[in-house]
Parts: sequence; structure tokens; C-alpha cells
Amino acid sequence: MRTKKGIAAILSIIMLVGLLAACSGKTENNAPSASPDGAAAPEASTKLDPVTLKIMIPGDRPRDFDAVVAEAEKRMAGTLNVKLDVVFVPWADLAQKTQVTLSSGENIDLIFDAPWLHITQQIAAGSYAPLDDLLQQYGPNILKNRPQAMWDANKFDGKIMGIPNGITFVQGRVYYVRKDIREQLGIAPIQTYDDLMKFAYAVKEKVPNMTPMIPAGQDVTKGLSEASFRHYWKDNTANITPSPALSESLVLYTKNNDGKVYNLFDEMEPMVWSWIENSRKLYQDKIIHPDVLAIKDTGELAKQGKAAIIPNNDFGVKNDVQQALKSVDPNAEFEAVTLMNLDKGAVLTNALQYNFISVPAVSKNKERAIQFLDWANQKENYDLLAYGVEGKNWEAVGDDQYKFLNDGYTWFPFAWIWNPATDRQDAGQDDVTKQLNQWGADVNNFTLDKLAGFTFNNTAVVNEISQYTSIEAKYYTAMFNGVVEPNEYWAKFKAEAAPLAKKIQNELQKQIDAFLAAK
Amino acid sequence: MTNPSMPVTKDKPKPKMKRNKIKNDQSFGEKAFLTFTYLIIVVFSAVCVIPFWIVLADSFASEASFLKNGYQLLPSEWSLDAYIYLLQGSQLLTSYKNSLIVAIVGTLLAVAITAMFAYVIAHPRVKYRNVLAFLTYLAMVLGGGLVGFYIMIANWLHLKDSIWALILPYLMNPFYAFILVAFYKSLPYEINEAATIDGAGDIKLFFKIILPISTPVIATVSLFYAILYWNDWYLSLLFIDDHNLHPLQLMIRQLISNLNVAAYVGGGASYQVSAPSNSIQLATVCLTIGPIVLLYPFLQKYFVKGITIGAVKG
Amino acid sequence: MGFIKEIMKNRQLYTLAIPGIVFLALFSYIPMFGHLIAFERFQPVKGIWGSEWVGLDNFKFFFGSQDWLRVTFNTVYLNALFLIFGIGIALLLAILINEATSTLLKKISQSLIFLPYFISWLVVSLMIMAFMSTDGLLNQWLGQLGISEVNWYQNAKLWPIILTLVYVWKFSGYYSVIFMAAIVGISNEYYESARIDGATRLQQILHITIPSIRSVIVVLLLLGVGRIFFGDFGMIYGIIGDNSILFPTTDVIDTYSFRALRQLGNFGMSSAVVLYQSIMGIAAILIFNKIAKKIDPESRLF
Repeated sequence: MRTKKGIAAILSIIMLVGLLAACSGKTENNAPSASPDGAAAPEASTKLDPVTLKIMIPGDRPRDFDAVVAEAEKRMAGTLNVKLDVVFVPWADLAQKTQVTLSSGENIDLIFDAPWLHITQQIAAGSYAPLDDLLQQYGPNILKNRPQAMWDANKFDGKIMGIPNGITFVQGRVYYVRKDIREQLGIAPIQTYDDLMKFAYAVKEKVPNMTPMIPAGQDVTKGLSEASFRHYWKDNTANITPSPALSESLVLYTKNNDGKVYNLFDEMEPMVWSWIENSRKLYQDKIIHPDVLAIKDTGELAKQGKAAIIPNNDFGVKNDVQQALKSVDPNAEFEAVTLMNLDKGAVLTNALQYNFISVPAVSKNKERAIQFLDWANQKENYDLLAYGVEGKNWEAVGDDQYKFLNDGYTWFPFAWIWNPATDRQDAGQDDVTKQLNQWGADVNNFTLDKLAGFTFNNTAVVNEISQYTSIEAKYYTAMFNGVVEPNEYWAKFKAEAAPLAKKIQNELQKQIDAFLAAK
Repeated sequence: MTNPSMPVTKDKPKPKMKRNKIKNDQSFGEKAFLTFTYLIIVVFSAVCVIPFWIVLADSFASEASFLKNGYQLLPSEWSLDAYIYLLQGSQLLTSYKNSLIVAIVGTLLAVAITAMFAYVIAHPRVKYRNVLAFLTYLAMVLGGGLVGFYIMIANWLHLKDSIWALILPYLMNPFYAFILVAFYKSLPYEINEAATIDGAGDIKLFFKIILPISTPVIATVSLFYAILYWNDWYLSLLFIDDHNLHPLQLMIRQLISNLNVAAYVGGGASYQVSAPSNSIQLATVCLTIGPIVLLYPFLQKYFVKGITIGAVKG
Repeated sequence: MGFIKEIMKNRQLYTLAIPGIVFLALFSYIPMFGHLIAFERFQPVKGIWGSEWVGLDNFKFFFGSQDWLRVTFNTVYLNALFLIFGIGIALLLAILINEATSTLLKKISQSLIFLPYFISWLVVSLMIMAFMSTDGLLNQWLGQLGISEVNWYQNAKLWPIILTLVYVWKFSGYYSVIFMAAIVGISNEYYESARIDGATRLQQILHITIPSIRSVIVVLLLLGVGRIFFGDFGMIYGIIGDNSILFPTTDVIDTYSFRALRQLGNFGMSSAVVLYQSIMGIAAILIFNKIAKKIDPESRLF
């Protein structure tokens, strides 16, 4: 019976789909390129030759993007005369698509890149144009919108190779904690890691069908593995931080801002080792989810109400997680708990931004590309490109906050124009989160890392890095989430990876010494 | 287990009737065999259809019900949210149309080219058939490598942002070519000689006689090509930047990969992507599968009553 | 001379092959120059011809560690399981469906077993997770039967079996279509005369059906052999992800090199691995084709 119902359902879907496909022809005409000269009459004196900029950024094309582009082109019609051809690349294929595009020398005028993607490799390969002169000439707003400290720390070999898109000097780090359960258990707001543990064990004991803690187990998010995540907290007074060579890995690290690279295989840093041992205990006590390494999205379990604590980057609780959780259980609620040291100057920052937009060396419209970005860095234009059409997609809340009215436009200024001067905060966040965001945006709250502005050139050790990376993937997240016996695994890990780590460490130290000497 | 003395299709065929089931052999063994047959078929079909049913049914589940209950045979709370989300805007329709065009044009061309090429490889009179076969196989295993392939299509053939970039690179799949070869080889040798008797050329023979008797395998290969074209997102990822030419699968991939940004983005960065819901993932499966599922029952009739060799000859 | 004579003699046949030959040249053979980047430090601005030659340097990262043997073994082992069971079950299904006397059942089951092919790996992996996680459905069922729970995701030994089951589930419908098309082509008179001789259904299957479609089976196997060094990245990475506990049995060449290179994004190095896989594949197929030639000259590929 069920089968028959299934077939009927399938058939009806097919028919629906077929119907839609059949009448798709009509909606085709509203192509994005808009009318070439329909908008306001151009003033002859300032008008530049019309040009179409091809821009490649990650994400999904927002539904109302065409309208936004049309409006932007209308505003630029009299002066800049720029048309926009924005290509959105699926996140999953970002590396491959951008790499192959750059490799074939195709004409792209602006492209997203990042330290976690392949910006250093592409710079080494000569794919991007240096921007210092262009910015001086055409980019006053771009320069003005970002503090000098940000520019200084985001150069590559002393040159601006991409415009940093970011607003903070440190990334927010928090645990999402189930507030309702904490209150139900009569536990006071969490201030320290010990408080957090008390809460976790209480959940284990008293709340059935709930995993006290789900850290991230995937290799790409190893910074969110239980033992790794702890280096962000205030008891890390030595400022133990992953080195610039191996992203997020604590095997090579810096500490005390002394310009030296340390190697966990040699040092067995007691603090890091205690984190690892503690995570082992948590795993054995079933505080950490048994399938932690297999879970690809911790947020999903959080939404289902099956997790009491998950770690997360960014201050505050993401709205969609909170909403989804409440839809499952109206009484449930997450609160964001940060254990970062908020004292002035306590946190070390290298001020490196996560996102950049670069101008490929092959672009024929370099000046216009920068002129366009400069235009987009003006408040009213920024508002348009960042939030969509005002009144339709979003509304302003005061001068520095916004509220989306629907899901016709998505938030993606990080991909091309994000900056502290014109950014608006999401009005839906609570006050504590807003304050924390402001705290993170002010460089005076932090101590600048000696290595700010340093970038590691990996050409000399590519083989070592790739071998090391694949070995590390076998051990790191398993150890740092306590899934395996630390001593035994550490010995194996060391036997395979220590010589490679040593070579990378030496090369890194050599480059750092040269960098510091030159400073 | 095979008995070499038993006849195989290589033998000279005689004119024959339609296959009739002989019903008088219902011994116990035969009954047991049939029961076993039915049991296996039903169980395996169930194993295949239940997960699919769950995908279909739960694509109509409300997000809250899905989060609460996970996968269910029948969602406890129904909702059209996923489909409403997906059907908003014109991109879905545009993409659907693109996919249909690519699948139809591509399949027709690909089947024609592959069927002709495979016939040559299978033809006993062609002296270089093994060389051709080897070159075809080598192409399958060695390929061109991503960079060479990309430069060829984008820089030399200038097919960037052209719908042909989605069609041409799959026109001849060596895998399907060899399936056709295997089938042609099983045809009686005399058929290839018919041409000399009738005085017709090989090309005429191929279209007039070989193609019509190959319907079952042509139907199979057509189905496979249609699926290949329909399911492909890779070519469009590489070669189509204009979203008005994006096929369905790329659109879906873009949407779905936004769900898991964290899995692709390293460095502890955080991206505020409002994640589409679970039911959207399931709904996309249902939406993409559409026309292809329709195609299969349509092609099925060619499997059941494939035109027999004898019928054509007689 | 013999070459031109042969072409002239069968010019009509060679004409039929022209589109295919042009296709192979354009999309397979000319782009093969791209494999050169496996031997150079490829820099896009300098192009393939201008980049610096580095000999076998790009291969070092792969062969330099002890893991290459393990991942190569896993790739071949898993693919062999997939090939044997995938094709075996598909054959079984095609034969059984063909034997079914009810046309309705035939038609419906043919359609149904094809459905899993369309479920994306992403959705498959989510369903497997829901089914096999420690608090998942399977453990709940086991619990009801009084069997203690199994930590599926911590037990590497089980995964070759689980992956094979998933593969069979997803692809046997697809392969069975090929067999069904071949079975339809078998002349009925063999069955009729066999029945007159009193052969049972099983005997008919063993002595008529299987021998008749033998060459199709062998071709499918041989086609699989050529790809045996290429792991199914979408499947393995989709289901296993970065779960290192399962690496000992499930890490294949493709996932391994993906992981090793994802931070570097080095085309030269990834091309080197692909070239290694291709060359091993060619070696494998030459051997197996030779074997096929010895046993059954009709079934060989070339």
C-alpha cells in the first residue's frame, strides 16, 4: 500500500515539475544585465567609458541580486559607468574554480581570496597585482574605511596584494550553552571553564537524551576541537597560538610573543598536554559525544536540542540556530558564553583578516575595479550592496544597525567590501554581543603580535607540509577530542610526523628571523 | 558452471515466435524457485524504495518536525516551506530549462555518435578495430587532466559561457561505447554481411538494420546519457559563469554547499550564512530527479519487447 | 600502403567513426599535454610551457610517506569489492526480474531499484548517520533485541562491508539495466528447446542466460578494472569525511591526496597523483585484457 502511495506521490511531483518546466520560457526575459543606457542621462564631463567588471566571489546568488545590481549600475551610470558581472562560486568548489580560472589566465577583474584559501600561493605565483599605488590614486574611501593597523598587518612582503575585508582584530569565540537547562539545574551563569565542566557533568547526570558537549571533529574545523579551543581562553596567559605555517594546528605554536616557533613534539607544553588529557577524560566520561569525529555539523545537533554545549566562532548566538531550537522546544534557549580575557591588552592579535579581494594581474580594468570598490565603500552604496534595497530587503535601525525584512537578499559583504567604518550590526543581537563586537573592532584593546604582517612562504617545504598535513589528519582531531588514548597515539603521531614538523619549524623560524630583522 | 557445449547467440538464428511461458512445469522445485525470486525482488525493491520514500515524504516535513523526529515514514507535521523556498524566484525555472535542453540535445547527439563509433569498433571487417578500441579505452583511463581540459575548452574552443560547453565534452563516453560494442559483437556475423548481398553500403546497413535491432541497448545507453547530462554540475561549474545558463544541478549545488560553509572554510572564520533547512536538501533531490524518473518507464517498453533479430531478418 | 588500402576498402565504416575520433582527439588526446604539469612547478602566469621543470619532485609528497601503500591498497580493495558485488548483485537482480512471470512486478521493480541512484551522497551520508550513529535507529533496534549497542563510527573493520552494501544499494539498479537489455536480446528458441529437454529454470539460467551475456559481464568487469585505482571521492568523502578512526580501512588515494593538498592547492602535485592512478590503471587493464583474451577471445576489450 505504502509503495503505491509513494508512486502516486512521485508521479504528482513529476507532473508538477514538468508543468513548471513547461512554462519557464516566459520568465526568462528579465536578464540581469539591465538596460545598457536606460538610466539617468549621463553628464559628459565626468563620464568614463562604459566597462563591465567581472567579479568572482563565493556563495549563492541572492534572489534579489539583479535588482540590487540594476540600482547600483543606475547610480554609477553618470560617472563611473561600470556594469557588474558578478559570478558566485559554490563554497564547495571555491578553491578549484578560482584556481583553474586564475591558471588559465582568464580575464577577471576582482576575485575573492583568503589566507585559508590560497592567497599566499597565488601571490607567490604572481596571479595578483600589487594595489598600493592604485589605492593611493583611486581608493581614498577604501583606505579611509580601514584603520592603519589593519593595513599594516595585512600586507604580503610589504605590499598590499588584496584589500582586507573584515571589521575585527580578533574573532569572537564562545560556547553555546543551553540557558534553560542551566537554570533548570540551578547553576549560576558560567564564568570559568570549571563552571562549564560542572554544568556538563550535571547535564550528564540529570538530563537524559542529551549530550553534554559536542566539539567539532572535522579536520578543517580543528580549531573547534575541544582541546584546541581552550587556547582562546584567559587561562592561556602565555598566549599559546598556532603558528602561521600550519593553520589552526597547535603542533607548531608561538607563545609569549617572543618571535620564536615552538614544537609540541619537543616541548610537550604542559598546558596543551593538560587540555588533551582533559578532553580524553571528558570523552571517557561520555561528556563528549561518542561520534564526535563523524558529526559534520554540530549546529544541526544543537538545533535538534540534543547538545548542551557546542563551541562556536563569533560572539553571540546565531539567529537561525536559536530560532530552530525554539521551534523544537519553545522553552529552550542558547546563551553565548565567552571565556576570553577582555582586559585591555591581554589578547594578542596578528590582525590578519580572513577575507580579501584582489585584482588579478591579467585584468585589463584594474583602475576601474578599484574605482568601483571605492564607490562601494561609500556609506549609501555600501548599504545597497551589503543589505539590498532599503525598504524592500532591509531597514536601518539607527545609524549603525540593520534588520533584514525577508530572505530576498543574503549578507555577504565579507566577500568584497566589508569594513569597520560602514558596517552595520545585526539589530537582532543582544546588547552583550554588540558590545563584544565593538570591543573586537577596536585595535587599542589588544596587544599587537610581533608577527603581525608576517606571511609564511611555503615554497621551500611544500612536500613536508603536504605530508605532514595528511599525517596530522589521522591523529589531531581524534586526540584533541579525546577519542583515543593520548600517550599511545602521540607516540605514533610523533614517530611519523616529528621530522617533518621539525623541517617546517626551521624554515618558519628562518623566515620569521629575517622578517623581524628587517622590521 | 557454464556449459561450453550449450548454444550461445553466436549461432545462426532461425525465425521464431514470441516467447511463450510454458506453464506445465510447476514442480515443487520450480515453485520454490519462483517464490525465492519474488522474495528477493520484493525485499530489494523495498530496501530501495523506503529510503527514497523517506526523502520524498520528509521533504514535505516542517523544519521543526524534522529536527524533533528526524527521518520518518510520514512526517508528523506537513509543510510546503521547502518547496516554497526553492520555487521562489526565476532561477529554478531558468535552470530547469537549461538542464532539459542540455539533456535532450546532448543525449540525441551522444547516442548517435557513440552508436556509430562503437559499431566500427565491433565490426569484424575493420582491421584497426583493436587500435581504435585501445585508444578509446586509453582516453577513459588517462583523460586529459583538469588544466589541459580546461584550456582546451575555454581558451582554444572558446566555449566559456556557451551551452555547448555542457554538451560537447560528454558526447562520447568510452564506458557506454564499450557496452554497445559488447552488444554488437553478440549479433550474428551474417548481419554484417547482409550489405554485400543487398548491395547496400555499410552506412545504410547500420541505419536500416543494425540500429533497429539494437533498440534495447540503445535505450539503455540513451538512459545513461540522459542521466549523465542531467546530473552533471561539473562542466557548468568550470565553464558557465553566466547564471542564466546555469543548469539545475549547479544551482542546487550552490544552494546546498551554502549549508555547509563551515566544512569548506578553514581558519576558524565564521560566516553568517542562514542555513536552508533539512527539508530543502530532501526537496532538492525530489526536484532534480523529476524528468529522469519519467524517462525510465518510457524506455522500459524497449526492454520488454525488444525487437528480435529473427523478426527483422524474416 | 596497407593502411590506405584498408581505409579505402572500408571507407563507409571509417566514416561512421569520424565524429567519435574527432571527439577523442579534441577532448582526450590534445588536452593530454596537461599531464605535463605533474613534472613542473606550475605557475599560471608562465603557462604550461614556461613553468619550471622539476622532474619527479611532485611525486615525492605521495611516495615519501608510508601511507601511499595503505591508501593504494584500500582503493583497490574497496573498488574490487564494489565491482564484484555491484556487478554480481546487479546480474542476480536482472536475471530474477527477468524470470518473474508478473509483468507488473517486473516493471515496477525495475523502476524502484533504480531510485537510489538519484539520491545524492550528501543525503545518503545524512541518512547513514541517522541510522548508524551511537544513538541511531540501528542501535535502538539492537537494544530492543537485547543486543548491546555497537559504536559503528569507531569501528574501522566494519566499514568496507558497510560501504559495499551502500554501493550495491545505490548502483545495482543502474547496472542491472545493462544486463536486462542484454537478456532481452537472447533468442527465445534456446529456452524453448531447453524446456522441451526438461531443463529447470535454474538450469536455463546457468546454461543459457549467463553464457549468452557473458561478454557483457566481462566487459563491465574490464571497464571497472581500468578505474580500479580511482577511488569514488564523492562517496567516500561524503560518508566518511575526516573521521580519522575509519581511515585505516577507508582512506583511498583520492581522499588522501585531497587532504594532503587542500591547504596547498598545488596543481602539479595533484596531477602527479592522478597520473600515478592512470598509469596503474593502464597496467592493470593490459594484464586483465590479456587474461580475458586467453580465456574468451570474444570478450576482450581490444
